Formats: sequence, structure tokens, C-alpha cells
Amino acid sequence: MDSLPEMLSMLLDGAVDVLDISEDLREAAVTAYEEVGAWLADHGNPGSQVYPQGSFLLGTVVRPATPGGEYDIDLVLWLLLARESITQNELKERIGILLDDYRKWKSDQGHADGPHSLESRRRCWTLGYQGFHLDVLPVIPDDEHPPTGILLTDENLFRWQHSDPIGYAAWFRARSEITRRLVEKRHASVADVPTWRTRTPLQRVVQILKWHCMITFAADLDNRPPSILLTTLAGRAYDGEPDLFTAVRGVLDNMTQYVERRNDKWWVPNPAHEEENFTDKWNDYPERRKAFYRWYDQITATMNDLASMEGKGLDAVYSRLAETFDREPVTKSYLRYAAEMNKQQLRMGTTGLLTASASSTGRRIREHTFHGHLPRD
Amino acid sequence: MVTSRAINLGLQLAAIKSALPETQGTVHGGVLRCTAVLQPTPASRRYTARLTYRHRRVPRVAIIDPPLALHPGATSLPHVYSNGDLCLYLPGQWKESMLLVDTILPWTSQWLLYYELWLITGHWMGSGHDHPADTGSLK
Repeated sequence: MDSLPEMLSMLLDGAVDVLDISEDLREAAVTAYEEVGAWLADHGNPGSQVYPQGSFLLGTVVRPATPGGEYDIDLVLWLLLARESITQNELKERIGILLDDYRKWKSDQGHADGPHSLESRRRCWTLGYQGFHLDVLPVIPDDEHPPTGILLTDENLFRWQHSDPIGYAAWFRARSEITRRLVEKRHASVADVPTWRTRTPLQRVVQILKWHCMITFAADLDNRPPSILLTTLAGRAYDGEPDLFTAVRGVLDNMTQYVERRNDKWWVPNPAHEEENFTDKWNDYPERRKAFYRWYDQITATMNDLASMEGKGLDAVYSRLAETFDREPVTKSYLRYAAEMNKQQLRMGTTGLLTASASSTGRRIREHTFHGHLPRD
Repeated sequence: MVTSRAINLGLQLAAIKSALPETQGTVHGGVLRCTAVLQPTPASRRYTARLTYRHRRVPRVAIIDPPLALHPGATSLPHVYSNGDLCLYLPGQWKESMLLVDTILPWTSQWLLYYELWLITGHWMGSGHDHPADTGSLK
């Protein structure tokens, strides 16, 4: 670790990794929704599809800070129906019946892995599983925006709204990949380009913004900026920076310039669908816009503080991180770092800096064990 | 029997100054005394360590600046002798034929890393025995 930003990136990456969905749970969720999709297709709904949208599809999941900390996984249940053939209310009811039938079928088959609950929410149905929920949003094709455009109901089950989660995910992936192109330009050989274990820097940036936002608005959910807004602004502002901490600061420097004014309205368009405005609510509830900027100022101040902590002590950095984020993931990240330093062959640089990388120029350190007793002189 | 020879003190100091250019030191009357500034990680403080060494004695290291703190709930520092010197290695791991700059000084930097982590967790996460602080357990 040669610089403070690298060190902070490592600590933040380790902390947010604790909040990310585990591989086992991710697989369990995929298995669960694929089965729902297959069952629907086999039971009189030809052409129906079930697929993830939102953070699960984008790879930006953060464990909610609720008791139990169950992950919400957003799904789209797509029925091949014409817009004129069904009302919003009928669509929601119809999908409720289908999901209830699926649940009964699972239970009749004696399967223990089926959903333990089915609840109605405003626009979607929620299937409960061990460790996660599947929020199933009923949608139909949007003929005006083929092939991935969809129509979904508004919160009052009154109007159709346009959306395109697959198009959005393609946009987000392309924004994530600008890192690779940039890094490839900096390295002479493609073999030197780092591969990110599970998440790209942009995915991690989004997770950090969401995490901070979730904590800031824990007691004020109505005013919490939606994840899709943070994700969109971050994706727009991200310039390909591979170092996580530097990327977070760069995104914070630039993200607010993507909030537009269109016909006297606040406007952040869905990059996959110009007609969808992610700041629509700001026009009706000005306090939500204020809340967003309050949060933005807070996270910017935190990151500026962290950037100025060179030489202040690992423990002081820990306190600053734990005070802003949760103690538990930050502590786990430090423990992981300590374990990593124990495993590595270390070298020492000209200021006493310990580095683990084989390519660093420092002197190799001989092995030893810290002793607890005074050896005989 | 082959015994490896003790390294000359002047050479020891020259090696230290070459690897850690900020080091101040002297060899006088058969005693090497130096102070080195060590910062184990970019986030860590810059510590001044004082090293005292004469042939056929163990090298002694103490941190003279900034003053070392205690984890809340701990009554003493881990891996420190009662006189304040750091316990850096097991008997036999250091020999006079080794350079201090490849052993005692980097071990001190490592000690400082684990000391700062100990301030957070109350556990010694480096090698050697853990000395858990009374209330430092982690969830």
C-alpha cells in the first residue's frame, strides 16, 4: 500500500464487500426466480419471463440495515399482453393469483425451498425466502420501445409508465467498462491489467454511495434519494478511474452537474429511456431535493476528511470510517487487512512503509515472531 | 564449528542510513545509537524509534515519539518489556551476523502496524501471543 488513497480504497472495498450479497445467497435467489419463471411458462403463460432488474442485475447490492438484514431482489414478471387488453389493476391481481398458485404448487409437491410468504405491496408482489425477498413487479411489453422496453403501473395502479431495466443495465455495464479501456491504455501489456475479483470500481462506488445514503436516511425513508438516481448520476460522472477512493471523489466532484432543468423541472433522465425522469418527485416534493443535497454535502465532507488523514493513524482512520458507516463492516475490513499482512512476504521502503507487493523495491524483511518475554541479555 | 561473525557497527549504521535516509545516528565507544522515523502504512503516524545496540547484547528499541497510547480497557501495551523496549522476536531469531536494517528496524515498523490495529481491536493481530485487552473483544 503505497498511498493513502490506495489504503482507503482497500479498507472501503473490504467493508462494502461485507454488505454485498454472498455467492451462496445469490445462487439461491437465481434458482428461486428461475423456477418461478419456468413454472409460469409451463402453466399456461407462454412467452412470460421473469428476470432481475435494479441492483441485483447491476451488481450493486447492499445489505439493508434493517433487523435481519434481508436482501430485496427486484424482479420483473413480464406477461405477453397487449396494453389495451388489461388494466393496471387487473394485471396486478392476475399476477397475484399466479404467484399464489405457484406457492400452493410448491407446497403440494412437498418442496421445502418454496417461498414462505406472499405479500401484496403497492405495485409489486413480494415472495419471502430465507435471507432474501423477491419483489415481483408485473409488466407488459412496451410496443413503442422494442425489444426491451416495458410498461409498468404507477403507484396508484392508474397510469402506465415506461421503463427499460435491461437497457439500463447495458448502459451501466458500458460505463463500468470504461475502466478497463483506460487501464489498458496505461499498461504496456494486457497481462498487467488488473482483474477485479467480483466487482468493478464503478459497482463499488455505487455501493458506497448507497451504503452512506441508507445510513443517513435510516430514520427518514421518505426523503431518501432512490438508488436508481445515485446509480445514474454516478454512472454518468464516473471517468474510468481504477482506484476506488479516487473514483468516489471524482464521482462526487462531477455528479451534480448531471441534474438538469427541463421546462422548469428537475430532470435526470433514465439513460435507457429519455421519457423516464428519476427526479420527477423533486418537482412535487422540494424537500426531497434538499435532502439529496444535504446527503451529498455530508458524504463529500467525509471523503474530503478521509483524504486528509495521511499520517493520522490507522486507528484515527478507523474511527472516522466507523462514525460515518457501520462499525461491523469496517471492523471486518480491518481484520481482513491484518490477516492479509500476516500472510504476505513484506518489504520495507525508505520511510518504514511496509508493502506486500513482490514488485516493490523495498528491502525484504526476515521472518520473526513477536515475543512476549524478556530474552536473557 | 562455523560461527558467523558479528557485523561491524559502522557498517550496521551505514546500512540503516542507506535504507532509511532520515535516520540520525552515531557509533561511539562500541555503542550504536540511532533514531529512525518509521511509518508502516500511509495512514499510520510517523513514529520516531530509538535503537541502541552493542556487540554481544540484544538490540534495544523504544518508541520515543509520539507517546504510545492504550486500547480502552487495556492496562499495558502488548509485546513490550517492563522497561518500555519492544519485544520484537523470539530468542535465536536475531543474530549479530544479520543487518539491523533487515531485521530489527522492519520488525519495529511491523510492531507499529500491529500496535495501531491493537488500538482499534484490543487484539494483537501480528505473530506471537495475543494479549487481549480486558474489554477489547470484537463482535
